[in-house]
Amino acid sequence: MSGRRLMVVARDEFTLTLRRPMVWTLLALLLLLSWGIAEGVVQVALGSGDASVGGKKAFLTSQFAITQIMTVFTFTIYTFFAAAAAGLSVIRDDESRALEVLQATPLRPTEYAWGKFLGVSTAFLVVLAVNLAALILFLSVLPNADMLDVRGPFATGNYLVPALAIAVPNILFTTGVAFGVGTGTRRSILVFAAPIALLVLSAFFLWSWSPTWLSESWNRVLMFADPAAARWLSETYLKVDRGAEYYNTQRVGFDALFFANRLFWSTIGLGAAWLGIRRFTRTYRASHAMSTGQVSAALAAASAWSAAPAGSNATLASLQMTAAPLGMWATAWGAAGAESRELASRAGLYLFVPLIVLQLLGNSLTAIGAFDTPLLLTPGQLASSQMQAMATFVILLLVFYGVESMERERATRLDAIHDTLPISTGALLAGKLLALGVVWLVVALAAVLASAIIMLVQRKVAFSLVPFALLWGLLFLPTFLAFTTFVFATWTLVRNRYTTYGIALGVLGLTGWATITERLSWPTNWALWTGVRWTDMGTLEFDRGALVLNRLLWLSLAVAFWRMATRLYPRTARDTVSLVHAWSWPRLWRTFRRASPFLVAPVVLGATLARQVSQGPDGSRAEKVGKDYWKKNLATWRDAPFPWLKGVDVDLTIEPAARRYRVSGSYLIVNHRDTTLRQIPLTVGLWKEMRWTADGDSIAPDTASHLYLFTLQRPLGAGDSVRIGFRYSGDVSAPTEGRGGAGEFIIPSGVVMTNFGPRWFPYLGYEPSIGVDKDNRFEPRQYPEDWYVGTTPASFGSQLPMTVRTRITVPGDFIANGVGEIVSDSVHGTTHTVTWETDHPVMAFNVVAGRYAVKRGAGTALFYHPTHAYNVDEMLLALNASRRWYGEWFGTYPWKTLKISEFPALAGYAQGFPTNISFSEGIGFLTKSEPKTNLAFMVSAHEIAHQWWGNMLQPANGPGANLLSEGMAHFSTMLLMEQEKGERAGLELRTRFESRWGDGRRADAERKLYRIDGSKAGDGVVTYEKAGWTFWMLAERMGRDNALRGMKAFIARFQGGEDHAALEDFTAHMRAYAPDTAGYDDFVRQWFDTVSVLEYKVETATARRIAAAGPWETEALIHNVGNARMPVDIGVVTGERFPDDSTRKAKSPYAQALTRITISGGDTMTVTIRSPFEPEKVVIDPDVRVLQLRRKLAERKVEPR
Amino acid sequence: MLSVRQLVKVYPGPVAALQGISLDIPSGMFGLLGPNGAGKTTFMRILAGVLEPTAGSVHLDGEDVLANPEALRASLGYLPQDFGFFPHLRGQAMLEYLLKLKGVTGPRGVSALAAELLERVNLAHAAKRKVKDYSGGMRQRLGIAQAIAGNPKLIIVDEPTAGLDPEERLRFYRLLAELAQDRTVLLSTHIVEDVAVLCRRFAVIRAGQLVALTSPHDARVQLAGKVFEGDVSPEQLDAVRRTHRVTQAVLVEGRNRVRIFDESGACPEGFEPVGETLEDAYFLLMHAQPLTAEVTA
Repeated sequence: MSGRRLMVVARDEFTLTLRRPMVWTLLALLLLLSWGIAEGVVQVALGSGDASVGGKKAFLTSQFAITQIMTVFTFTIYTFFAAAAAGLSVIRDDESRALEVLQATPLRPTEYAWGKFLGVSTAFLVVLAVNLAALILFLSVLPNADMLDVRGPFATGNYLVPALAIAVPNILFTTGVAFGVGTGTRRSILVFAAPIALLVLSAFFLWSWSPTWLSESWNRVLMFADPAAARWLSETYLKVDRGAEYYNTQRVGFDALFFANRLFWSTIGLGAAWLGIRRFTRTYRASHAMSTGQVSAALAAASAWSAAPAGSNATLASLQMTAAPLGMWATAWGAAGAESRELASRAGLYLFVPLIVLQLLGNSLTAIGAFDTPLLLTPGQLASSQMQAMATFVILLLVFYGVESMERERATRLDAIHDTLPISTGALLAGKLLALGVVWLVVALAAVLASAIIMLVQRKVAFSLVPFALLWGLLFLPTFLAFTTFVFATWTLVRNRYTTYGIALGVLGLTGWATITERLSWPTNWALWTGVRWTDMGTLEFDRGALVLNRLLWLSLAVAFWRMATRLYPRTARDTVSLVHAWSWPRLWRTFRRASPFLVAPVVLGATLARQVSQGPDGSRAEKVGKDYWKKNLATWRDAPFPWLKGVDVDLTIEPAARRYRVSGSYLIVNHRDTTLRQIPLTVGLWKEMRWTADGDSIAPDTASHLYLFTLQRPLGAGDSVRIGFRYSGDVSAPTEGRGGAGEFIIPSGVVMTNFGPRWFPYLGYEPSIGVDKDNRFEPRQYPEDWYVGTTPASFGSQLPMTVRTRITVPGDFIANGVGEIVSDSVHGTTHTVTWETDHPVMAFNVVAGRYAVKRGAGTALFYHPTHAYNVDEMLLALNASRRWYGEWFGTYPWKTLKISEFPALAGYAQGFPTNISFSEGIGFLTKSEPKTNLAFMVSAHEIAHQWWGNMLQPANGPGANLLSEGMAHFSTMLLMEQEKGERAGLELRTRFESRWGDGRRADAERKLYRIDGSKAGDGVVTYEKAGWTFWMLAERMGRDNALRGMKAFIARFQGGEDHAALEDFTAHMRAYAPDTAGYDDFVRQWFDTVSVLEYKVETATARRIAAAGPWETEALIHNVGNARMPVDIGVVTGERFPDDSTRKAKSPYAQALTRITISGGDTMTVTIRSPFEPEKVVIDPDVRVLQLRRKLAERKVEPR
Repeated sequence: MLSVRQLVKVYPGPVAALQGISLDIPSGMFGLLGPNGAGKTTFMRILAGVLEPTAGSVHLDGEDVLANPEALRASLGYLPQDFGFFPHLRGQAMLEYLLKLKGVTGPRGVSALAAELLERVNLAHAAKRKVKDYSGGMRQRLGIAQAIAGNPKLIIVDEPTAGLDPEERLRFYRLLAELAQDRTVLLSTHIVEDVAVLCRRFAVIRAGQLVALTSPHDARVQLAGKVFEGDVSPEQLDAVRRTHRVTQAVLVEGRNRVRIFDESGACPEGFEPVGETLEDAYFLLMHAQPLTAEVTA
């Protein structure tokens, strides 16, 4: 090999690569992104917490931040460019036939190929250097006063180390694999398939899939398997948030696994390049490398050929050929046949299809619902949840195969013949379209097959093809046609493969950006990435009209694109002079006139759709009304005194099919204040035909302020009341903007209405959240430390309990549930009227209706969609057990019947209205619940607990108070699970909640429980999991019976009162029930009034037997890495505690020996434990009774001493 | 009858590839001769409807083929100079595909017809091989097979014998000759012998201009008794070039074997009379003045 010749090739390739527009595009993109990060408009994050680059507190310049940037940049953005440049390097020479010329020179294939690889790799290392320089410039050199708090001191190592450790191996890997694939196979599609496959595998699996049950050894295998090393970084440093201080000051410590990963994947890159070059070398001057057998066969065929008669000399006339032009479809069919065969010869398809299927399987099997509970997949849920992934994959395939299809004749030089064939361009393109349709069909069928297998494995739900045919077939058809014809039209316009790729991928990227930033609406939602919300209870009823119009719009655009593609398809090469003339005004006008018939339908449909959306609940009309409401009333009414609702009497007629409703009724309003009220403000919805009365007399409110002001003839003195009557109708058929579902709705298959907000029923007073968006959003209210002292208002619902009577008329086959008890129920013709009355006052009311089956228990009832009976028994058990045990623990349930009603999954929440709990399909009803996990029981128990913690006890409106609702519901669930399902179920639930908190907490943002208001990232897991655990530990600390007595008394104290409960009220109240008040105070200080964390680590564990047949003595060094101080059990254990297979005889029975210790935060302690058995492990808190971070570190295998 | 009027083609550069060619091409085999870069392929591509001219018109039996290329395509058999096929299709499948799109069939169906056509071009043995494994000559023959399929009124073949061995070339001559009996076959080549063997009439274009329109016989007859051949030393060659029109000079064993044309018919010293060939005529025509439209039309 001549080094000189190799370097000539390398230099040439290096220069050529750096001159390519593609590389300049990459550089521009990297500069822009670097600037965006420096300005805080772009964020890069692999892990959770404030480690996210661009986050509020973490330095953008820390080594962790730069490592994340390098990882994401090089493995996502660089990948496509590097793959294209490296992979196509030799292919391009081959296609341009330059290779043939080079073959005649002394240049050896190895010199040529290694030179190419060296040149292109070096070019991308130069790009990396420029990228690094840009980051240093933007992040550390150029001044930026707005970002001072996220800029740390400049350290060269923060930039260089990630570049060398992460970026260089990634570039070597990407360029090596792409070069190897491109050079070895000379197939461009494979060059793109490989990086996409890796990216998808990494982004959707390797970087994100980390269930709590995954063992450490398998986790390390996956870390090693990630070519980007992103999983290693995430799992080692980012998954459990260590706080900004750590990330800002520490260096990334690389371990042996990391170095092994880097070395392995760099070697894979270089190895792939070597293999590709080896194959290339073998075929450099021959079309094939052949085995001896193949050579023999070829020789035999050649001799047979030479022996054969040399062709026929018969005349052509004897062939009796006839010719008649083919029809459109026959031509298209013929073209599709050849095109399909060419597509089938592309290896990319065989790579993509399994990948797509794997991805869909992965997504489906890891689908989660409330509290991360796995979902039971029905065909419709599966088809709809995977629709976006499916669409994305097929669209990506269409980009590459669509362009390749258009290029095919030109690339193979068949165009010289093909363009003169007596076929219409339309038929030819139709053939290509059909062939691409086959690609779509193959992908869809493979995915459907995979889905059928999922259903089969689930064993609970029957498979049905209908939802797949509807969502992946019928609904996707316009997307397929529109995008494919768009690719066709773009190609015919620009006639360049790479520009077409760029434009098509740009459209995809733009759509992704619009989706993420919520700018996508029904008119622009061409890929239906959002907007299609499936419910098994009714097929595509929500926004159906908009959906149909959207599909028609994109079909009509497909026609327009089609027209453009067929007009511009270059069968005759245009003359330059005539092209110049084509830009004259008259010619342009003529072109427009000809195109205009094809634009009429898209324009009309688009305008209609846009208008409908603007009239919808989140359209411009509603937005303007909301803004006006906010602007005109904020100053006057936000802190104004309002009277309270005492009684509600509502007649409600619902027409689900038409999505209309009529309301008539009245509110009994009482002035509980000392002052006289002259005006009563009511916030109203977008209703029609409104009529109002006051104590029976007609009244005309002042509507100028968008808040209806009722000026009373008789001012409302203290204790006085007035009955405001109303009558109006509403119509909710106008579409939303198409980004998903709706919290409350009327659709043909179900109804959910509540009195939270003014959507359905008049809302007494001013609603401060209306008209607030990102433009006028304000920081959460700051409360003083003693905010809870005195009478505090309720955080939701009425301020005092009220009586409610709802008379609901629905279609005859509907069941309508309200709060309270049924007092009358009748069917007249096609309507069903039911009247509900509260048997005990309530603080809020709702209406849930649908076509239900019902299962009843003791004072309980479950209303569910007839096909969703999977978890009904488990949920009813939860209902019955909750009524019994929660009643016993927290106070007798004051209402007669407790019911749960299922509603269509247009939203994924559950709401615990008194006596009438509403559950979305995915919560409980479609939870994948197994005897081991009891997840349907769990979510039901949580929601039912809100009858006590939320209804009987209304939290106050202030920080920390919501924990009395959500945290207490979790605590109740933990208790009930153990009570009903036993020790193991209780232990597993506590572990589950602990993991959710550990994974979801934001170390820097976490505040003490008293201050949690839901406004900070990570507040969610504190409100639910940490609070639930804190109440659990409190009960353990003060004794469960004491705690339950205190809690029962606490509810009784606040139930129905004017003052509402704050967390501070709770801790003050419970003190009286604590046997050890000093211990209690210490606990409250640590867990309610400061942010405390327990994190134990077993540093060493050794054991020896004291005497020949005597007990064992284990010595363990324990470190409390956290800052809290709690008594905790430490034990030595042996055997399997809860074997999955109870029929199998355990190797050794489970045994544990415990001792209790207390270690302060940061301290270490040596603990000695004696056990009558040989210990296997030292485990801190084996019974899971204290909340720990990183529990996996709190156990260690015992070594012999 | 194919009628071409004032055909002009200017490529960006600008390069005037055709400078107003007018020509009537009757039924039968018509040759188009010219050196490399003369504009032959441009001319053929325009006639085949794959290239838009800058100006001019082309009519086939009165039909304006530039305005209505679809009409031409239905009656065209075209073998371009540079072409390819779908590499992963087998020869038979590729030909079948093209026959289907052309709407061509035979009494026993498209497959049988494709097989027979492959036999006519001596490719039957390679029918099952993928096209990407074909040699250049085999690909050329597959191209010929598709061009002659059906009953096209007009056949345009651009350098059709390039890459063919003598046997296949003769086979192709025979096929073309058969086709030319009742239709127009336009043969573009720089191999003068092809035209001499096959064409009743031919045109010569040079630098985008038509310089001759004649028949092989007429072209040769004009030279009768005026072509001489002799050996000339390298030193004498320039002098001969100054005094005579040299049609060929080949260096053999240190001396030039030179053919010259002398209008007067007087044999120069050291030369002897030889029989005139079309190649002689071609070389002489290459120096002729461009013909006017009135002459050619």
